[in-house]
Amino acid sequence: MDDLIPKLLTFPPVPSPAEPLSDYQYDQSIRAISQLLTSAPPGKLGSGLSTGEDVFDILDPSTQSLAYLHILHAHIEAARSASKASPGSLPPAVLFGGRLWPRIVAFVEGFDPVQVRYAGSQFRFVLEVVTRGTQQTGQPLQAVTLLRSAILRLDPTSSTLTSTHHKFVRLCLTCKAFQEALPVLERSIYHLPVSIDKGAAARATRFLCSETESSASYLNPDHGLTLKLSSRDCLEYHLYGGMIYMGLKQWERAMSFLEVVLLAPSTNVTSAIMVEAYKKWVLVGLLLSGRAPSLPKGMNKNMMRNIHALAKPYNCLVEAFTSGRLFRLKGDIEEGQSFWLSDCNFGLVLQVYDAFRKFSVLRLANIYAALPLTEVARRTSPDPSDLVEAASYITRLIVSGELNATLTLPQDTTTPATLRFLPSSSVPRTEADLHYDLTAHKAELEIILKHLQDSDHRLEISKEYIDKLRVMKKQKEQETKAGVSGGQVMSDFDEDVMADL
Amino acid sequence: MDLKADAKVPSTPKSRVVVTETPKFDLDSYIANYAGRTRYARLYLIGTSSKVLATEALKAAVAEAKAGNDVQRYMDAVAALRPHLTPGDPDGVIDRSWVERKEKQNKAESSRLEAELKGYKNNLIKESIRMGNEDLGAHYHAIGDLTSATKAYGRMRDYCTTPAHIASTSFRVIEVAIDQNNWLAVQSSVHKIRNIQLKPDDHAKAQPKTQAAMGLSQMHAGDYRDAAISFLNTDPSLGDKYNEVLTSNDVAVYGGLCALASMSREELQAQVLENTTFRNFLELEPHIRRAINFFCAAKYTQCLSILEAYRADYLLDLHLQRHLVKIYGRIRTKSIVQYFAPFSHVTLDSMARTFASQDRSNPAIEDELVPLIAAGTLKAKIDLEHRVLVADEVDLRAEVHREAFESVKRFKKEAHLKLMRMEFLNAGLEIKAPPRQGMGGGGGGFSSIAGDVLAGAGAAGGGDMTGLQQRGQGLAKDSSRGAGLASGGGGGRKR
Repeated sequence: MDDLIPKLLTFPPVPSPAEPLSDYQYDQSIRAISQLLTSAPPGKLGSGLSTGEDVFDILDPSTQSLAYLHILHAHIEAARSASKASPGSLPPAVLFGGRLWPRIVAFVEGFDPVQVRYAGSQFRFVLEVVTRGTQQTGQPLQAVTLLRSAILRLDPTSSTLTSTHHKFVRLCLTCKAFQEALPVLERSIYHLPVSIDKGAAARATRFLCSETESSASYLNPDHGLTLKLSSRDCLEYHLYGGMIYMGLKQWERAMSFLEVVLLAPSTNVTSAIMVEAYKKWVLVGLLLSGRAPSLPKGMNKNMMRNIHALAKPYNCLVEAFTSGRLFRLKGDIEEGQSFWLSDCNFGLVLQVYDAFRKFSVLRLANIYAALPLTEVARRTSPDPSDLVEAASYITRLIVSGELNATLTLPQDTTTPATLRFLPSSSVPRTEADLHYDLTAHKAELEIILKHLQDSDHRLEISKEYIDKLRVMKKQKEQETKAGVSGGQVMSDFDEDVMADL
Repeated sequence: MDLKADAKVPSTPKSRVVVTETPKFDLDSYIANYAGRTRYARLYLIGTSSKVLATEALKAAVAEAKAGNDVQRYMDAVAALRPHLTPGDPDGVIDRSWVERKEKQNKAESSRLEAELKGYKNNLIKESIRMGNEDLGAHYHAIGDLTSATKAYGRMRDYCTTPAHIASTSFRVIEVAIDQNNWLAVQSSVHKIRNIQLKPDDHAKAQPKTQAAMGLSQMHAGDYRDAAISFLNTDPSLGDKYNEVLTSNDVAVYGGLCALASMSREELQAQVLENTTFRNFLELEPHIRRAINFFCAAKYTQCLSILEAYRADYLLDLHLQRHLVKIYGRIRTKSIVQYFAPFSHVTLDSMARTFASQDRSNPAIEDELVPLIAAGTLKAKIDLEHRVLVADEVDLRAEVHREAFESVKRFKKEAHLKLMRMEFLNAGLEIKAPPRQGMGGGGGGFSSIAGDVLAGAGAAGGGDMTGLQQRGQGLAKDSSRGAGLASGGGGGRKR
């Protein structure tokens, strides 16, 4: 171990060189260190220093992350093999309060993301240990915060889905840490990890350490930072994400997550996860807008049929809601009780029931400009004669901002209170507001476009596309020989690319 | 006397509208305008619908039927008349001898004509075959066997040589189709007539009849606007040439009402009031012209009151009965919308005064307005506090901004979803059916709809599905508690 330390400390060079290292030089040096660490015999890394100092005190997790990581890995392995604990559980040294725990925390909170790219599987291993360890000690929240910092440090845009994301979201859902999940969930997923095309990578003049447009170039199963994801994992991630937003009552965002699940491509086979997502999506749609949500474009017809067959009680519920009759809604809810309970959607259904009253009041605004409270109560309250309750309900709606109206309660009790709906333009938006919104939208659009371009680029250099181009070119040559105009081929070609989507 | 097995039985009248008011027309002079089978049809309708004229009309219907050859009609008329008469009245009893005699006669005539036709067919003279079929068809039409009549006329088509033949065949088909209420057949026959090349005077003779027939079929199909246009283009030379179907008065009434129900003020002004040809028709029914004038002059109360005054009459009209309520409803809606168009605020009381409510039990005008507003026909809102109808104010600028933001949001969402879909495909992550073996293994991928696969995943225990359900249940319990999840999240924030 002693002989390794000086070598390990040579990288990165201190003080930093006048001219920053080029990607090539960086790549070379890191690979050298990595080679050094991986070729060391197993026990060596796990052993202590002859001076008695703790290895971890010498190495700095933020600048010598690679070395730190490998050594940490070795120590954990050593602790595991040394302890007599059962194979499923972790030794106390690794758990919270153990010797290695503060080292682990220091590493996860301060690692250098670029260096870690070169030791993906070890990194993943450490995160695994963290997750399992906290589950063992029964304090999953620590895992939540640690995983979250790991994810965001590794990829601040968090735009590529990894297995860590999947574990993170699941963990948050089990321990109900919804707010904590937000920083990761806020950043939508735009890429899924794909095994890289060896040929294309060889042609590219990029290194693992170079700055890339998108995290998808280093977050893939080949480099170990993420396990190979199955389609089930991807769908589950979005379903869990949707459920977290449902818990936070952010219906719109929940809808977009659920729609990703609904639009997932399939070979004419419907997934149970999709059916679940549909059921929740329909209920959230009701809660968001008071109307049945319209299906996103591009859904497969066969799947829709299958889903409708399985989700009939939900469709009936939607019809009852939109029919505007409370009795019918109540009856449908009671009848379908076994369904809601077995799908664990009962909470949502109850919220739908409460929302019914809210939406029936809001619907009144479409027809009336003002009406007395007695009329409102007659049309929407469960108990039309209780005006005090109606008044307090409406006040709650106005205060929460969902209803844009004024309720005047006159002094004398003979004249009834009046509810006057204000037109939406009565809340004026200043130029500054609009400008702010516009710039926000613009920034988001730019992000999306960037991701689109990146995916486009990756597709273009993929082997299949190039093969197809070759075939097309041959066909075109043959056809120009035969005298047919080439323009036709090109348009067919374009169509072909899109048709697979 | 015993009735034979295939003897006709009186059919019960279909449930019809009942009109209690006395209509303005005089039954005898009204019915004198018509000829042919429509006389009976109209008399029967009036008899079964009007309380006041029932006896008179049905007696006339019985007489009409007895004068003709249709046994079924006679029996229907007598059956309808019977409840209106005193029990001993001989008019209420079916004249069995007449019935038997007529049936024998009809049968004899049918066989005679069929035999003649066979003879002609053997001789292969086209003209006689055509005439034979025509006579056969006419006979069947007269005795009320409309399906055979249509078949006979249909057979004529092959033997028609001149355009005049085709025209006359088509007119016959139209007649039978009108009796059968088969409006599609009427339309197709009219198109046929229009497509053939007729001599100019033949064409002039055919034009009003085809227009009127077309208008009638369009009205029954509910295309009031097209019907109005057809009627408005009918040449006044129609006179009484089409009395077997309708009179010029009818053309005026149908045309006027359909136009009122479907056309805007400018159109009414241009195409009806200033229409020189239609003016001839309108002179026959001056109250329709007055109603249209009032509508164009925005005097809705007078217009609607004229229409109300003639409601009883029109409800007893053979072709209008089914559509009158709808037509009147549309006229009323149009009046309300137009009345409100120039204002920003109108008191509900002045609206109620202008548009007297039709529903005696509920004189509130707002109940009539609510469905119009909900459907979007009337762009206004009701203010029940001040009892005023307030016009919708649209802030165009805010609308434009809002729509722009909406479209950006939509674009972002769609782009994201499409990108994700492409990513799924690119990563080879489409949902596939699980492989046949090893289905029970833990996370077994997806399930097809086969229930056993779903069950298999659950039974495998490791199935994350159960885990999902437990978590979901926890979530459900939490939300049903209703206390904001802030408490759950806040509790979670402790380290």
